[in-house]
Amino acid sequence: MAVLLTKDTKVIVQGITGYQGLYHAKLMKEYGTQVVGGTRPGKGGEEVDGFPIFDSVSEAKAATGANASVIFVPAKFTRLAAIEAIEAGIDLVVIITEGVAVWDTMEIVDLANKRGVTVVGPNCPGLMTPGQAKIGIIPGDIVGSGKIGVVSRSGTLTYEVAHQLHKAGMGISTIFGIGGDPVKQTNFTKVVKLFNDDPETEKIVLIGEIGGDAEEKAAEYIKQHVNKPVVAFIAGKTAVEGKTMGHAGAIVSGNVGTAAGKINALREAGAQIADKLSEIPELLK
Amino acid sequence: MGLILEMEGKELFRKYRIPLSNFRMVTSAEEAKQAANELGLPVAVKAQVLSGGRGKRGLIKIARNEDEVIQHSIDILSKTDEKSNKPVTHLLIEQGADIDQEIFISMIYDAHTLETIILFSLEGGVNIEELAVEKPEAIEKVRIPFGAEVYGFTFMEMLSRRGMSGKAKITTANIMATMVKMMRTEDLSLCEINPLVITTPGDVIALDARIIVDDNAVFKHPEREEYLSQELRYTDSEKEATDAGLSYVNLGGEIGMLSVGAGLGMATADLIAEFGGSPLNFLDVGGGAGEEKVLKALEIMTKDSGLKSILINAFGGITRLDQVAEGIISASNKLNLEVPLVIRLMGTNQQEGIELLEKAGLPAFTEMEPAIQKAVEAAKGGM
Repeated sequence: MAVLLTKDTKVIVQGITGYQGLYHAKLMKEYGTQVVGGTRPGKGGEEVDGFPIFDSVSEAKAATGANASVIFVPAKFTRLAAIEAIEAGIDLVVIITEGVAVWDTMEIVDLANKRGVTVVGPNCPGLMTPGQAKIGIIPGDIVGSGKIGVVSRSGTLTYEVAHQLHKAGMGISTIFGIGGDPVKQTNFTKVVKLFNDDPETEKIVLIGEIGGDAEEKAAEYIKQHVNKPVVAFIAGKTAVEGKTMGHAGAIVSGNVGTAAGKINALREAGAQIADKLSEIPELLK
Repeated sequence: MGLILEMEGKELFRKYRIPLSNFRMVTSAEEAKQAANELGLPVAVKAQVLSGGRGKRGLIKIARNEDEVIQHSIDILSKTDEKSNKPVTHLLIEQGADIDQEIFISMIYDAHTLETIILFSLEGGVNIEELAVEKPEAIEKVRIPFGAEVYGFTFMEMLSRRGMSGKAKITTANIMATMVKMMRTEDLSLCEINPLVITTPGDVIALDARIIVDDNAVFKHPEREEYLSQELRYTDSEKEATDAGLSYVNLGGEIGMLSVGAGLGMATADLIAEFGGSPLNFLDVGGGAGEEKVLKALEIMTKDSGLKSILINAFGGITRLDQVAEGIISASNKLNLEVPLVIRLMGTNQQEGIELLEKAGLPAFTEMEPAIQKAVEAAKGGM
């Protein structure tokens, strides 16, 4: 068991003829994911590296039984691609594309909420259930299968933590890169809830960073609902106030969103705090 | 953060027929004098800079006669904006108004609920943040669900309850409805008027415009590429980095830091501090960066003075480390790096990357903490 994604999930790639789309379609398939095809309007009926191409998501879904989609199209087309996938009845939409306009994301999230569809991202590395399948760009060889659920806002930090756990011989149930944009449907709280409800996940690792209040909100949820051990790490303890270090979400305003505030909230909720990434495996023992 | 200038915000307001005072844009004291004569005295002379608190810093002044217009203009044009570190070049000369009341209206979005949050107060003016602390009941908070149709009447009851009446109330309600609409159609993260004034004759005028636009939405609003605020937002190095698709922050220490991904960069900076060092700058090449981006990032990094060592921390996901290695090698050939270079590679195509570096005589770490420790020691002369 794992959350949202298993070896039976059937995935289509929106933007499969693009450089990143095709490259990662192949890596996902190599890893074991059922990549059943892709879309590229105007190229329906053709094939690329053995993947059938469709003009639309609904045609792809009808032909392949796809229930998940991963979006690699450029930012300006992401709104339309996501709406298409949601309206076609796809259950899980993962948006890798970065630089999506925030009001476009709000429209995507609003529609997904109304239709009961799960959207992960945008600007995220995706998710992986080790030993079964991955959707997105998380490198396959850095994670082993096990009982720890990992959720992180930052792509490279997600990999770093996975690597630290792997090195310590610890396996992961599902690893989630939820993305660095301020607006997202699948946030810390939602993933922590999924992990808490998943019988195969025994412990939870949460990797946050400065900016926004998503970690504080997750801390509230943890305090009230989560009995599984939680280990948390917050990046940006030494960041200069008011200076953004790249992520749209990482803007410190006043006291909300500071590393200290987040660490306090999580500690108060019963989470153990790792000062360094390398301390995480020890705290999980 | 895509803050735009008052004059650019007012052009946006004009497009949506939000009432403005008469004003002119000028770039010299002579033009200011002419503008003031056309508008009629008194006028406000307002520096077009991105930092807030202009009044307190002498960047907005009232001129009652021609001499004052010239004097204030010369004075303000001789100043440097402390935020962008660039000289003030543009002045907005605005017709004076007899102010009866100052209103504050500010709108942002709630990232969790997708609502538009509206803050409104009849006690507008410069000290709104103090007001929020000392007298929170003076600030009304309204939440509008995502996608809801909003009209002037949406706000009528609230404005009546707050004591507004007559034409001013109706105009204010309509302005609020327009601002809600603008948030979405113009892709704004902040839309603020402080103050919206009611004049003695009862007219309503937006005297200021504080607007943050979403940088990711420029494809829908291509005119924004030409905004002066684009130039003022960045220092030269920041501009160079942004143009190359990199992100750059100067942090004032001694270790140049290049990372793939912002989160890893922040965690790296934290560890540098933990090990007793301090980062000079931070270059994030982002996911998928190739040789050229890495080279460009190192070029920008090495321009900052005070550089004692360079730390490259790359974890390859979408990024291929052989390409990162190529970038590092071409930088070390072209840039004449005079300080120790510490490299850490882990992830996609790691082995290829490390082999390329070794052939070029550049050793690489695979673990993060020893690499950071080494870079801190090197900056202190221990390498």
